[in-house]
Amino acid sequence: MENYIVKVKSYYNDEVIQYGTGIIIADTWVLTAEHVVCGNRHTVEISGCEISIKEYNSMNGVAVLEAEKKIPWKVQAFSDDEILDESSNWLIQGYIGTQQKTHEITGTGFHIVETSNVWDCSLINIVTGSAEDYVGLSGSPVFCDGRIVGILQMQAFNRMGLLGIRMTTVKMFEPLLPEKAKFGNEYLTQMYEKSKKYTEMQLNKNLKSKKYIPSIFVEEGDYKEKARYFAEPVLFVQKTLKEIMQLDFQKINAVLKEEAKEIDFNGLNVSVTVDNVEDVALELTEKIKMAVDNIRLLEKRLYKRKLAWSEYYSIWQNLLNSSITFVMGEWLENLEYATKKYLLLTKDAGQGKTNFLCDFTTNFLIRKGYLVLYYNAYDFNQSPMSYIHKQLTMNEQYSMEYVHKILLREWERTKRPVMIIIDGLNENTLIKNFGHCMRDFLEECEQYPYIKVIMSTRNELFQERFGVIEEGGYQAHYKKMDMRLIGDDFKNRIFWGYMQYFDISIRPNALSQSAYDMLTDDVLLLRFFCEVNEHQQQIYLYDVYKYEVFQQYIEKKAKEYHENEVILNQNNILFMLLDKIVGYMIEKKEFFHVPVSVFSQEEERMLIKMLENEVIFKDEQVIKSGILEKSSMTISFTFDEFRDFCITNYVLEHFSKEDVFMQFWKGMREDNLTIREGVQKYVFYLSRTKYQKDLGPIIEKVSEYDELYWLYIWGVQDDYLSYEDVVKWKEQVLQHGSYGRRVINYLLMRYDCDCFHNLNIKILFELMDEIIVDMGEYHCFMQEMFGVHIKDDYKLLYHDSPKAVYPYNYLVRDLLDCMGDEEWNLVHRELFRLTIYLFELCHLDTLQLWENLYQNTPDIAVVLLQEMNTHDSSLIQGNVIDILEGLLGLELGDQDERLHNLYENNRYKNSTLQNLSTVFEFVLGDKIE
Amino acid sequence: MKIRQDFVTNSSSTSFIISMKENWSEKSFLKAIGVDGESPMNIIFEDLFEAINKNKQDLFSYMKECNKGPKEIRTFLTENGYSDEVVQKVNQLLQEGRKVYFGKLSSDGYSSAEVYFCMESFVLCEEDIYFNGQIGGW
Amino acid sequence: MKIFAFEEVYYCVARKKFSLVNFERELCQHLNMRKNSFAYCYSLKIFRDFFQYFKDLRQEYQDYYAQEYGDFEAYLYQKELLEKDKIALFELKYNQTILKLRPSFSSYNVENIIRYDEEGIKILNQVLEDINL
Repeated sequence: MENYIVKVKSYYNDEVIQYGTGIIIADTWVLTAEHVVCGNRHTVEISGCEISIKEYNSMNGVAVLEAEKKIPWKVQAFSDDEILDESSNWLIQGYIGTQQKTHEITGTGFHIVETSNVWDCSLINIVTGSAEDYVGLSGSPVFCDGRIVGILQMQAFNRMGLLGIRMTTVKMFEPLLPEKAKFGNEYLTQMYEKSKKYTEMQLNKNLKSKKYIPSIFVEEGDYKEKARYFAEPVLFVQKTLKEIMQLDFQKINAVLKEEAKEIDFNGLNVSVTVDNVEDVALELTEKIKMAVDNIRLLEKRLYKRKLAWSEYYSIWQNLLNSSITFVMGEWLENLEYATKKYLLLTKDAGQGKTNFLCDFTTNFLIRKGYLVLYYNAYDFNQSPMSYIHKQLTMNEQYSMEYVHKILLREWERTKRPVMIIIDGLNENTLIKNFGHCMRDFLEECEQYPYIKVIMSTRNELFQERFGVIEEGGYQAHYKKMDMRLIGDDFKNRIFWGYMQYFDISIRPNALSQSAYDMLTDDVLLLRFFCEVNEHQQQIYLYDVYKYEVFQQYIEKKAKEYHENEVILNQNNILFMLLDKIVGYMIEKKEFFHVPVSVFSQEEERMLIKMLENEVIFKDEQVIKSGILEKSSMTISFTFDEFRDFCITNYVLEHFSKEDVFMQFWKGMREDNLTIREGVQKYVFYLSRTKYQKDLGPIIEKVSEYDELYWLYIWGVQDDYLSYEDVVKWKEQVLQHGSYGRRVINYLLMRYDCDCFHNLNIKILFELMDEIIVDMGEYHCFMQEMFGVHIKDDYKLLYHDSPKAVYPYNYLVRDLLDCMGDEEWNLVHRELFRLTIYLFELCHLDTLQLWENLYQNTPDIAVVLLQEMNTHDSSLIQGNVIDILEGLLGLELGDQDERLHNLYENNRYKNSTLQNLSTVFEFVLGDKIE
Repeated sequence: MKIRQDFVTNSSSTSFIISMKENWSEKSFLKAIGVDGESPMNIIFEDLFEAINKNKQDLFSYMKECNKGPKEIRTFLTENGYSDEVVQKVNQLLQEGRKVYFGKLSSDGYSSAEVYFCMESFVLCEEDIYFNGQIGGW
Repeated sequence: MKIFAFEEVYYCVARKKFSLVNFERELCQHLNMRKNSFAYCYSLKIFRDFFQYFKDLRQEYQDYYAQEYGDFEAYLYQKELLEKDKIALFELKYNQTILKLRPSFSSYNVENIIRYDEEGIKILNQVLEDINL
């Protein structure tokens, strides 16, 4: 017997007139049945000693006795939240008879009767411990599911004449209990704790593997909001309802009234509760649909009515020119989620599904105290339901029947589901036909109203692998949410979030729009990029060189996979594995779906590592034909470009003889294989970079070399560009080749000569210096490459796009807009130099630009003018003079000796004045004569 | 409030009819529409005046440019989307000897006010002013 | 009160428990135009179209999102996607809220008043400057 269950005696004078059992509930309090304390003095027995009772309180036949002395005690768990029905098992422990011997009774079944004010429940089906008289047991605790659910109150004969027992449930005396003793349902309390612990562990795994990076999670689009509707319908249906009630349809109803189609949501002005949420959601949906239909109909009819435009517009602009139908459409969509049970999220590979799910689980489900079980699909080797059962029954500690009852009751009380999260369906490798398995699982879930499931998988090959999920019998409860949309806010946050997380800083003004776009359009590439550049500071980010990123990524991963192993060549296994995959692909001329069966066990382990931690590989199930068709697990590269890169590496490393390589090259071009474009690109890149010495001469021999050169040279890092390239590029411009404009554009963008050492804007200046010798030619060059573009305000021209590479007026406008601090002006100084070359295309704005430049950063302006003041061309010198005159007109400029000196030393000015005076004299002389 | 030209992509131009009791001037226009004190909002209506002033033309000379004679008011206004009621009103104004102007506002006009009122549908019919901008929208 | 426009999303700083009725009452007193005239009605309409379907973000945060986000600022940053420097511009006091204005609910056209240049918003803010709601 537990020592908190104690003997109680009630005396009349010195004679015991009543025996009972008590429960210590606090350091001086003992709980028992009120009828036990019927004498004029009472005691409780603690460790063989009787302690007197000072006084007692009571309600509904239950008494709390206050002892004169403190009693050792600990908190006991009373609960009115257990299920008490015919199948619940119960246990009573107490002291029976006048001897007060310990006694236990067990049985199955409660029968709630709410007719008496001292008892409310009969205990039926006594299994053990029945007696002819239960005297002494009054006040004994009745246990069910590990909680005290009531105390024994009385014995009575039932209708069949059998002696039965009755109890007072906790509900009737709950105010007598100290707060600490009041507990919820034992199972639920444990389950909530366990599920939280388990799910947090799963989330931690994802945190550790960096699949979940909280700091870079961005709530893009309305996806999270929709998930909220899905998970917490009561709160969020109320939200939509409130929004709807805010709308004013008065004016539009004045028109709709004519056809008795008025919009009216007033009937729905209710508070959403667990009992009406489904009905409200449905009714709201219907009403919104009807409102939208009515408005749309009005729009159509208005059109048909053949009104004069003046009348048409008075109705249209004043009633219909708003986003209200569109907004109602969005609300409808949200409401749809509130009524669903299964939600499948799809997104492209590596774009943040796991991050989304982990965020939603951490910041919504766990914070709000949901019972949530988070699974990574790659862990499953049997149906998800078997894992769920196991966890919900706590390894069969509870029966599923009991669990079902409790969870159903909880669902009906709160409408908060048990949330099952299954991340990355596509990553499961252990179950054949996993799509079918998931469909069967969801069908099974139909039996459990309280279960909701959120799953995620990739968009790629969704139909092939998981299309079957969309065919289950649960379609009314199923919704697929394609999270394809990527907004600018998302890009901005994800980009800088990654940079911060991987501790990468970018040099000021050294991030180009194209590099930013490339990385933010593909979060997977961004991820690769950041992993290989972790802890790099002050990097230039004008371009992203994918081949470099891929190369470094493989090397990094090869090391990581063997971090804790002693291996002579860490890279070997990964590279050998990649070779094997690529070798298979080349041999079969099939560049997807390499069957897993070709790999050894050790290789498979490596594959799994890649699947689990990384985003390089994905697995597919395809029907493979031998003599028989059979299903087989296969793997492919996620990133086509990465695959092409690996293939290129393989080819270069394995086809050591030139003729073998050439044979492959020719075959690839002739067969027009999927990999052709990618491989030739990487071959070209490698021939210019890592394998320049060996591969360069070979590739230069192929007949299409020139075509490849002009196609891919733009993506080669500056370090690998040479003097030969400079010559080639200049030729294109000087001889009006087809790539001349591209060359100019390229050089223009490489204005940062500290970053680009070989081919940069200085080559453009060299070119211009060569051309300027012929003024006619120079003029044509300026017009072609930098001709001013004036927007056609009158829209006389249908096609009104600029013809020049970079219209000079746009360049000046952009410089005026962006110029700022010294740092910016210094990085862009060569672009300011360019304006001296192009001055005559747009005098006034250029003068303004120089005035601003001089006022912001006089030193930069002066140095540039100084350098250009001695230019060989008189045209350039003349331009410098014009600018100097402008600056000298400024108060600040006039005081600057350096400007005066420059002005005085300008050869063009001096020679022109001299020349002019000659002409002047000549003309005057003429006249005199 | 001048606006930048390069942002407006789709454009629309919508017609207006305006007639004032007093002589045409910014002052009389602003007075007629109720701008009679210091308010930051005044600038919107001043810009509206500027837009109307720039784009308005005497109704008859506008009609002439469209090869319509002075007797073809009904045809002209109907073709331009106005209802009978408007035609009657314009005729009434002309009979009273008032000058009636016709013109167009443009959604890529030079001020936000022009863009805004170009897309609004309104009619102001008072003793001092008749201003019909009912046709407004894409 | 003050309107902020961030990439065609409009916010207005106002006191908590902002009410449209009080706002219009105050506004009428600040317009300084002939009552019920064209200019008066249009000025009123412009403000009404901007404010009619305001969303009180602090209220919304408290009613639906408080459990999810640590505080109101975190909610603005994560849910509203407002950058921290922009949140700082609000200079929000404890008794103030942010109204998210949804003019398109009333009229697509009214945004034209402030979409294309900074003047438009300045004008509206000059009127709002004197309204302390």
